[in-house]
Amino acid sequence: MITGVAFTFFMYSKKYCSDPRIVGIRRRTTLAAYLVVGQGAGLSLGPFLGGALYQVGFGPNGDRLVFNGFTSPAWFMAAAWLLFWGAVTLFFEDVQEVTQITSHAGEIELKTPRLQPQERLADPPPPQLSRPTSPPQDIDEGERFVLGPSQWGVIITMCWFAMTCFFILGSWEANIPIFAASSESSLRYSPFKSGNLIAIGGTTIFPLLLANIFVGKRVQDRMTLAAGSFIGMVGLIMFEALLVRSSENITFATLLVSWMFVALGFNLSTTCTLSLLSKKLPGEWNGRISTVIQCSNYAVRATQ
Amino acid sequence: MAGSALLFSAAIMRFVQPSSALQWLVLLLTVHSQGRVTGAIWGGSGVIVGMKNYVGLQIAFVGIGSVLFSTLWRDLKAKTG
Repeated sequence: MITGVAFTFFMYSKKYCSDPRIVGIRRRTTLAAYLVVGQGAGLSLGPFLGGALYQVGFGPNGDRLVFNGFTSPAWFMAAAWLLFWGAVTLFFEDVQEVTQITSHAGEIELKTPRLQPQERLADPPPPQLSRPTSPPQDIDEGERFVLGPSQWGVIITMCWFAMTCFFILGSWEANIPIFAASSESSLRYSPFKSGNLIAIGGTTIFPLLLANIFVGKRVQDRMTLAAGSFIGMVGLIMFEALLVRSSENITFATLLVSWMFVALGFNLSTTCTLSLLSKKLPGEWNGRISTVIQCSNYAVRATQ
Repeated sequence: MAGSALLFSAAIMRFVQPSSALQWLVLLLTVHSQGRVTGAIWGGSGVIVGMKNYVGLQIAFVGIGSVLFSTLWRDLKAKTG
């Protein structure tokens, strides 16, 4: 329950973490790998802090303190979010600059100087919001992309994997503290100890995810996907086998190893879903500039 | 919360041209967050539904995914980088 509340916050942060990926479309695998490293860092830091903050305790008479073991993760995240939105307000100008630079680069490539006014339109935020959405795309109408059956297959596969990976990662994070504290297991862990277990798993796979930044450049995405889901599957089957034999078998070590496999495997897999999809639907983008404009529009929208 | 994710992506969709590739990215991101949310719910109810069933469903999901990418292996070929 306690970590359940804390995990709600981790979940929120993950959800928003996935939004900036729209910006990272063209950085492909490398950027996706960086994002997953960030995800890995959050994965180990978050549960650790959640567990550590529970140690704040509840004061002499239980819940009298405003800042206690239950509420501290919420306070902490509230502060973090204040910081985050502060940073967003401060650096938003910078983001706009970056999108302009990239759209200039795209402009040269596409040789469509006509697009410049549209891009200016996207520049000042609120009043023009509705206008720049339609015109830039009409220009590239000829490039309209028709989806063939294999593309459909790729899209479905990628969506399936995106869903599966996050489903499994999310459920493991939520499940470990509950399972370890329940009578189903012989562990009887406090939220702090469960948080530590998740954090240790996250920390051990972190170097491997870092390595993926460099290796991932040279390996095909489908290989990464296959390897990731294989590793994750090994972890799942290992855990299932332990459960089938007897839940007595589940100790700190076995739970940790299963979690490491699962976390590593499905974190690896998540790097490819986005980059592979963006590669399989390549130049048929309705003009790169419109994408950039859409992104800046969306960024504006999100901050309002 | 799951509903808010849906509303959120519906809002983005309004700015995306129909049948553009970007639309699929938005869908992908929605599926991401939906997976996260349903995952946490499933994880939270793992003990109630039984731990074996809980892990079993996950194995089934990965199994279906493996079948999908094995059949589409050739279509998934893409540039590295």
